[in-house]
Amino acid sequence: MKRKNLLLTLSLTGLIILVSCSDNDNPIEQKPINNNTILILNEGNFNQNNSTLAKYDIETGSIIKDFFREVNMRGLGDVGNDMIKYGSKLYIVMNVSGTIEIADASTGKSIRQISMKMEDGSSKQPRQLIAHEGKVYVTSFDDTVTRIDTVSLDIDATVKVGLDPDGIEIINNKIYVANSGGLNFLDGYNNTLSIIDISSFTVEKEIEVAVNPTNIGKDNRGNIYISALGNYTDIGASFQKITTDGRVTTIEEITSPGKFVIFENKAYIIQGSYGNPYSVLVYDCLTEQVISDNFITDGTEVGIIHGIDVNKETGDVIIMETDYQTPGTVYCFTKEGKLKYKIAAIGLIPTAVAFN
Amino acid sequence: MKLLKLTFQFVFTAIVSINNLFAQNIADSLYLPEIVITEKTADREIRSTTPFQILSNDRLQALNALQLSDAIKHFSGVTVKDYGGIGGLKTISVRGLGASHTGISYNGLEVTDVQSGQIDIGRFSLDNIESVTLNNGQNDNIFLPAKAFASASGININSKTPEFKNKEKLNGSLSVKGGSFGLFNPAMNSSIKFSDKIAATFSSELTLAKGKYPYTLYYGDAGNDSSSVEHRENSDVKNFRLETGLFADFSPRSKANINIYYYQSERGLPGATIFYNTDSFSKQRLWDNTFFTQGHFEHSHSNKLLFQINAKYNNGYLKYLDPTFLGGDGKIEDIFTQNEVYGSASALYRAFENISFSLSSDITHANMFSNRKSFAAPSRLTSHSVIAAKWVSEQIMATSSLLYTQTFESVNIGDPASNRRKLTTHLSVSAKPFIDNNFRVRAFYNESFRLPTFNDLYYPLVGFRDLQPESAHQFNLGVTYGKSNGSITLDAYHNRVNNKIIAYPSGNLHQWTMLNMGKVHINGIDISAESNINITNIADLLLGLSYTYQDAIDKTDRNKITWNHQIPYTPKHSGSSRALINLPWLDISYTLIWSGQRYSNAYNSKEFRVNGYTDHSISLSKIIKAGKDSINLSFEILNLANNNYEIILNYPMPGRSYRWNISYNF
Repeated sequence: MKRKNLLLTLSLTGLIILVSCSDNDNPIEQKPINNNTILILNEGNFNQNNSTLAKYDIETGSIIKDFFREVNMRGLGDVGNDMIKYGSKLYIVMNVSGTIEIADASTGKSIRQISMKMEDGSSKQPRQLIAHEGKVYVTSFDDTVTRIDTVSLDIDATVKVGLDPDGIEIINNKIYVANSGGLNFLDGYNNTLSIIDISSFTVEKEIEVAVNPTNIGKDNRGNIYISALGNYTDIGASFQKITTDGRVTTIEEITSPGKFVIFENKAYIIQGSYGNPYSVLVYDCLTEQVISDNFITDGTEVGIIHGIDVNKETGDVIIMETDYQTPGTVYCFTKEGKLKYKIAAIGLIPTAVAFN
Repeated sequence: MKLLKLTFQFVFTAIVSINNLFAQNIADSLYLPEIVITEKTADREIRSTTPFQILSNDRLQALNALQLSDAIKHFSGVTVKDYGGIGGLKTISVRGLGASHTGISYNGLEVTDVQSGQIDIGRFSLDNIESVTLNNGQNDNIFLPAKAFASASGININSKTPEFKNKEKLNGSLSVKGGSFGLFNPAMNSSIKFSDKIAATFSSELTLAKGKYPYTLYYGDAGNDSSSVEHRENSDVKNFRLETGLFADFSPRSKANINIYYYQSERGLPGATIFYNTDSFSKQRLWDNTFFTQGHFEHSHSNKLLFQINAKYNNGYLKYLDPTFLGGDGKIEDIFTQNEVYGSASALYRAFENISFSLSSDITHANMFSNRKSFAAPSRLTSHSVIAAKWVSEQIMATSSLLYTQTFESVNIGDPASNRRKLTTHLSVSAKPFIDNNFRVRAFYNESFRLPTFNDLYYPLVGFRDLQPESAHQFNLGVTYGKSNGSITLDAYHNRVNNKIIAYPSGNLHQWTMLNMGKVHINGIDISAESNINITNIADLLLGLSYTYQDAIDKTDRNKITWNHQIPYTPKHSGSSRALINLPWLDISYTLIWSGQRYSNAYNSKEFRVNGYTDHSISLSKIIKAGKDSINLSFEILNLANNNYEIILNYPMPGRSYRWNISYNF
């Protein structure tokens, strides 16, 4: 009984997006990237403590599946939901363990483990994070956004937002948080975004969007995009645009969006469901048109797509495939949708990547 | 019907013609196979046409076992999934088929759970248990309710029946056990004789444990990875059991009994040990109440014709509370109730000297309710009908049966699942080729299936109403040999599971559905041996050993990375051994349970390897006689080597612990 419940809880909570963009006006110099190493965060299975950070050398093809543990002599823990690279450091969100691991991106050495616990000791269930001007912001399912100072590596503020915040994005000194209501599945989820003023770190307002907003991204003209997953029964998923003046419009052509990433004003959106093969749809944010229904052009067959990201230096698109039960595969495609390389059976539920 | 008749004819003819090859004398004791014959248990194990293992009271005593699950680990072919501690979930999979293929019956009638299809055997203590048996395929006894023919294998738990010496009117025992981690377990059993025809038993037991045992949490599987010493939190247990039985022998031809059973449990759910968050499940709780009453009536119309009627009512209540849930209400509180009404009628006809036939028909009605919004509230009416035949001669024993199962599904809300109809067969034979040598060869084929559970069908968002039953085919070939001071059985088998019901991600991580996706092939060997040695004329040594080899591999999809990989949590090699030394002043017992490595994932790579383990225990016990009464004292050291092992990943088992027991038998 209990396991069933956990399965359900897991299935209803376990989704993230890959917001790995750091702002352009970021004061911290990014170290030059050689682009010969890709780091992959594998979520692991619920309650198995088997989330891993894998390291793949693109030139030599050498793989270290459990890089973090080998370096630190301890595992990451349970359910790695998100990872970003900011400056020279990795910030890794461990949902069930209730920690943020801050590690050196090149050596993998842990610098600090931040505890993300409630007063009663249970996990706040951190979900996703984003970096901006020396701070890292983390959404947690205890309905908060936590701010971490990247110099002291301590939590320096927390703000209460809506139900079960998930995706997070920053634009024009405002933090947009998607209040998914992911744990409120018995009561119809939630349908709001919280907008936080970055300097006062207080919630400025809430706006209404579609049901179960989970993933969030932005173009370079000041627009926010969300994919809202619906309630899995009578309300379907939808893709929405929020303009700078706060107007919400639904993009009707996109009918089953999941996670997405926007790069150079192109949104790469995972779409698919049981019985329908998964694909990546490409939407042009400037022309407001679907460019392609299937980004992959060389016939490479991919199963269930769980994660997507873009290498900001090369424009390569990384697609993460999983069956949620056995080790999944990471594919790297060129901008044109041609397979460059793939890393098979790299870890359980590959979910986020970073480049060195 | 025609098919049924033809099959029957075929089986019958086959048996008769095999038998004609041998000239035989029929031993009297074998002539009435369906009557309970007092025989040495080992005899039954080696005579059986299908692998059959018994742990009778005296053997159970020497197993250092508090719960039934500890004892069952000594059967060969069995994998007990044990989540650790007294309150941890414990389920039994036999020969790689999975827990839902194991039928568990209590005093002859099946214990069921329509919700999950798996019985947590942790609830059964050994306090008032007379014997536990395990049979693969079917039992040689064909005079049973039809449901008993439905499982791939069966565990039968038999509680003590009243037995009186001479003029005795009352006997029983008072006992108390205690030990590490706050264990306190008082129990009372008694039998009362009201008249020559009517007797009753009462049994009651309380189990309290704090369960806060230490374990080492390893943050990696390499030798120099870090570790920390932790204590299992929220592992407390409070179980109470009350049972009574009324036994009536109306005449030499008729007898009846009624059992009433009540069990109440409250426990913490300690959950998996999570890195950097060992408190994570420190508040979740489970309440589990079970009430059942069952009746049995048996009548011999003549030496040739016997009848029996069985009935049962079962009520189950389960409440799960997670007060730390971060969702809307700040908690999850799920309540599930189940009801089951069951009736069965059976007849046995001894047509000829060697052959008997049986006919049995059952009806089961089960339903389930929940406090969850828009819960389907399903119910299922199942009918089982079986026709069986058995041949017994000095050199040949054979049984065959044909079982017809039909289900009718309905729901209060939404769409019901599809109704199912199935015909399954069983055939088993054992032959003793040499009259003077107690050596036998046996073989069986058994076909069975498990119905989708209510969780499989109706669990919100996950359940799938079009699920087919999951089927199991078993082939077995074995040899047995017995002498007065020992016995050995060796069986090789091939099993196939088709239409295996598995959870499958149907969209993203949010959307799972149950599907008939899996296929498993299992090849295995079971060995069990027992020997009784007189060391000197005052000391006896009893040795027992079991070994299990299981090659249980995934055959679902050739293109998947798990093709031909061993299924999770199924060791290739496992076994147990036990030794009991009876000295005039002391009994010393040693037990060992061991398992080779397993995988926690369907993909068998190094990072998913779960280490093997050994668990040694030792006990000293002494009986002090005082007239017809006696006092029994025992002291046990469990997991002597203090091995910090896990059967299920991240659910550590207790390390070294102690237990004492004082019982007064009157």
